[in-house]
This record gives sequence, structure tokens and C-alpha cells, in this order.
Amino acid sequence: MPLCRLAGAGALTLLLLSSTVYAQSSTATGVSRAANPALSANVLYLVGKATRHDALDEPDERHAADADEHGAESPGARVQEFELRMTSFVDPHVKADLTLATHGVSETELEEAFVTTVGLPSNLALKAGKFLGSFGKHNPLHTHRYPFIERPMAHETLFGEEGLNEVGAEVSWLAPTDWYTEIVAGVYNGDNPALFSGEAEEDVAFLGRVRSLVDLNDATTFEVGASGLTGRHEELSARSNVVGADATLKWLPLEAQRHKALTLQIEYLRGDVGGATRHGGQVVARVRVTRRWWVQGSGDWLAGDDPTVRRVRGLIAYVPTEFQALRLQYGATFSGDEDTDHRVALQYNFTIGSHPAHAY
Amino acid sequence: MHRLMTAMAVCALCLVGVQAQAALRVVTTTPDLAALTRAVGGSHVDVYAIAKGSQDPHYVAAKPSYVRKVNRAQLLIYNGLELEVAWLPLLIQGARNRAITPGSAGLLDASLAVEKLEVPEGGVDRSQGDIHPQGNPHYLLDPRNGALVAGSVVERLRQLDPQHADDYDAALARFTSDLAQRTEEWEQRLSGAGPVSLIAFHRTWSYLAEWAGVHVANYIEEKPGIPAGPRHLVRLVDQMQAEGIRTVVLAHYNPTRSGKSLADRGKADLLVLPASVDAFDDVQEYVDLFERIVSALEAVRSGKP
Repeated sequence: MPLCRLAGAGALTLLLLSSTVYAQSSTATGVSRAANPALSANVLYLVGKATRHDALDEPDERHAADADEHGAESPGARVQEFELRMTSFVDPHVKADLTLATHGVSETELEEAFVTTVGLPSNLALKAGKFLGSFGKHNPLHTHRYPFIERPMAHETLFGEEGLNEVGAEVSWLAPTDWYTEIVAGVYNGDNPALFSGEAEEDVAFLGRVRSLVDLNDATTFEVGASGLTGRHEELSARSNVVGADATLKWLPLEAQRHKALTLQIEYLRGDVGGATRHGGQVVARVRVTRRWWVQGSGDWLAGDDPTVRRVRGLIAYVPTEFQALRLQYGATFSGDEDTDHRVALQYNFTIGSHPAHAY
Repeated sequence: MHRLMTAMAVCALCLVGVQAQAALRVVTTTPDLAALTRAVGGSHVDVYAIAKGSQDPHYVAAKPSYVRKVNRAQLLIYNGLELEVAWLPLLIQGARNRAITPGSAGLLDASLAVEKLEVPEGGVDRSQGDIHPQGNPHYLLDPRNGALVAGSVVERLRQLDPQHADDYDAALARFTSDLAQRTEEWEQRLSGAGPVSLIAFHRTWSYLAEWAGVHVANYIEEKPGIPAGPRHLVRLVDQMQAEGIRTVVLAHYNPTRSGKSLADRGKADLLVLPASVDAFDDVQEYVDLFERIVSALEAVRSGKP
């Protein structure tokens, strides 16, 4: 009996003790979740069928071999990308954003890891680390925010498979004008394989961008931007220069912000890599027809040394909530005298975790 | 020469005078907060509201032109409780304005002044729809909360612009006593008839319902932010018939189609109420909002909406 009572008391003590430990502040335990970063995860699945398996997606042959390995070209169903994002303030002065991305199921990379300053004087902001550079409209986008399933051919060719995503720093300045004007100056360690041929110790690349946006009325904005990038291509011992221009018209009626929208956008790039000039661009139209349905069309092209390649794409998206989307795309690619490539792809994506704010 | 010096001195004094007269630049996220701030700030504040009266404040585009407004603000007042979570963080981040960074006197969360309703108990996740984990954000639809928020705005204006503290206090006293008097009148008018039961589109009216003694029996949205499916509408029609509900209420910015079809099928009246200041041309002040809502509810009670 006393033993039983002892056991009971012991159990009670344990229970009390554990609940006390649990309730205690992290001062004693050192374990706290109060300052955990905000987490969100996004997954993209892709099912596709193409009439030709070459030439597209990987116009740069240096990457074609890699592409086969992680199945970027293979038809059928696959995980296109898994992205894990963490955001938190480091201290009162700096905010950090980290993104891990898995392309396919086997290759994980640190897609972005950067800090941004809070409250620098004189309308300045500093971003430093590894991040998608502020060149034009398409390059800064993460895969799940691409207007179409693949990137434009001009971006794919000039910036390579990963895009312009270097280690470096950007300073941006918000001009004190009535309309919105932002000027960005960037300096990177030129690692991009397509532009600078990989990691060299002393290769430095520079970026400049200016963009301006005016409100035409309560619902409509018009934005123009220009970007420039220069760096040394180590292998070719020559300079790589890319210039770009973009214009965007957006219509978003105040009374139906979730039901109607229209975006018209054009982006043009011209790259000179070791004496070889290539240029191209993309025209995009996106219409939100109802709360849940989007209809989109685009044309993009790439010209230069090889015969000009042209592509048209049409896309219908079903977006039941802002946290998931199902998109069906048809594309036709015309390249010189080769057969036309037709491809159909169905993409599904969802986001869980911290509520993302919606970039305009 | 002497004359020139005098002229220059006068000019300099004029400039100083102009600077002293410059109003405090206040940006608010909603037109309600703008109306309250204007009421207590008078000519000492220059107020700009980001969301327009015709807009649902949950869904505002984070336009770069707003970034410029926030960039120049000396005080940014927001509704809080995650009402503006989809757009305000980008505006603050893009604005590069040291005066309004989190934790500074130039940033005011108006929700701190009020007692929250519908704070979810237990875990919150998205299976429940776009639920607000800190409580229902539509607290300004109770006039008593308007007085509390006006008080917290004045506290902040005094801190940022101590020179005009007395004016702010006087304006607040006028505003709150006028609002209290009107509130009492509205309450009398509302108590005139029996209880009203209605179907609403979204959980917009929880604070209003508690104050006005209105019973919101159900919502057209199946879950917050999630549009109704056909089965849900059928259930609502059954419920309306079973409970004798004769009114379907929409906020002025809600889509009308599902509400109209429900009202038709349930043989009920469709009532469109202003959910914020600037919803309609004759709702420009905070008190106009309640005048319009109370009149509409009175009409419902007397059976002629």
C-alpha cells in the first residue's frame, strides 16, 4: 500500500514537474519557439508531353547534359520544384530571407540567402547575399510566380538555367518624385556560367536598373524600366554585356480586386557575350476573367547567330484560392527549318505556411 | 542694403512660419481610420487613405504609388489583426522610411485600443479558410470602438506633434462627446423593435451585431474568404425558411451575385450596407456610417427595407 502510494505520488510529482518545466520560460530551458522564422513551402508538379525533346528549355548545350540527369527534359509526371522559404528579422536593423529549392527530387540548392536593411537614411535600401538580381521583370521571379511554365527563351539563353542569381549586393534608392521611381545599383561576384563562365576570384559584375511607374487612374498603372549588366567572361577573356528594357500596363479595378485583372507586358533583352550577340524578348497578356480563372497568352523569340526561334504559348489557370493553382499550357516552337515542336503541360502548385504578401 | 537685409529676414521668417504650419503627414490603411484621424487632427494633419471606400480592405494591391505615400508619411495608422497582411508589409518594406519602421512612434496599430471578438480558440489553420488568428478585424463597425481608436490616435499625435497637443485634446473631447450622444440615439432607435436575424456574406458585422443586437444566423461564405458552393446555398435557404430569416446582408464591396440568388430563393430582402466610410457619397464621416446602417436596420425591423 505505501509502495503504491509512493508510486502514485511519484507519478504525480513527475507529471507536475514536467508540466512546470513545459510552462517555464526559456530563461531556464534555453528552448524557445518565440523567435522562429516565418516558414512557407511551395511545391510545383508538372505533367507534360512534347513532340520534340531537344532544342527547348535548354538551348545552351552546356546544360543539356545536366538536364537529362535530373529529368528536366523527360516527359511524364514529375516534381518540378520544392521551395522552402524562411523569413525573419535578424535584429532591429536587418531582415533575412532564405530559400532552399529542390529541382526535381534529387538536387537541392540554396536558391537565395540575403539580408535587407530596415531604415537606412536618405531613401536607401541595401540587399546583400545571394539573390535573384534586379534585372528586368522576369529574372527576379521565383519559379512558382512565372507567368508561364518555362522562362522566356531569351532569359534562359542569356542568363542560363538558374537565371542571374549571384552573390553580391544591391543598393536601391527611391526617388523623391511624385511618381514612383527606383534606381538600383548592383555589384556581384560574377559566377553565372552563361555570362561569366563560373567562379573566378577577381571577376566582378555590375548591374544598373531604373524603373518608373505612373498611375494613369485609380485602376491602371504603367511602368517602364531599363537594365544593364556588365562583367568579364573568364573563359573567353572578353566582356559580357546585357541590356534590357521592359514596359508593363496593369489594370486592376478597385471594386473587383479579386475578380478582374489585366496585365500587358513586354520585355526585351540584348546580350553580347564574348562577341556573340543574341537578343530576344517576350510579350505577355494575362487576363483574370473571374475570381478563379485566368487566361494568358504570350509570344517570345530568340535571335542571333542561329536561326531565329519563335514560340507562342497559351495558358488557362484555375486558382481556387491564393494558396493553390492548376495551370494548363500549350506551346508551339518554330525554329528555322526544323519541325515545329508542340507541347502541352499541366502544372499544379500549392503554398503552405506563412501568408505571403502579394507583390504588385 | 539695409532694406535688402530686412526683406531677406522677413522672407526667412515667412519660411520658418510655413514650415511650422506644415501639417503632419498621416497615411492610414483604411478610409475609416482616415475619417477618425481627420476628426481629431483637424488642420494639423494631412491624411491619405490607401484603401478607397469602394475597396474591400482585405484585397488591396500593393501598388508602388502607395510605397511613395508611405515613404513620405510621418505617421502610418493601420487596422491590424491581419486585415492588411496581404499588402501592407510590402508597402512598409518598400517605403524605406525610418519614421514608420516597426516599433517606432510613427507606426500605430489601431487594434491595440479595442477588445477583440472571435479570437479563435485552439489551433488555427487554413482548413478554416482565411481566418484571422488574432480576432475579427472589423471592430470599427461598433461606434464605441471608434471612440477608443480616436483616443489612441490622439495619444500618438500628441507624441509626434506636442506643439498642438491642446488642440488634439479639445478635438477628441468634442468628437467623443458627440459620438457618445449619437450612439445613445442610435441605440434608442435600434431598441424600438424586436430582434433581427439575418444572413451575411462575410464576418464583417460581428462587432456591429453585438452592439446593435442583431443576430447573424449564418454566412454566404462557407468559410472566411472561401466562396459558397451550391450545396451550402441550399442549406442556407433551408435555414432561412426554418428560422424565418427575411434579410440577406452584403457589405457594399461584396460581390452581389450569390447574395441576390440567395435572397431570391429564400424570398428574403437583399440589404447592402456600407462597411466603411466613403462607401457611398453620403457616408463621408464616421458618424454617417452608423446613421446609414441604423436607418437601414430600422427599416428592416419595420418590414420595409
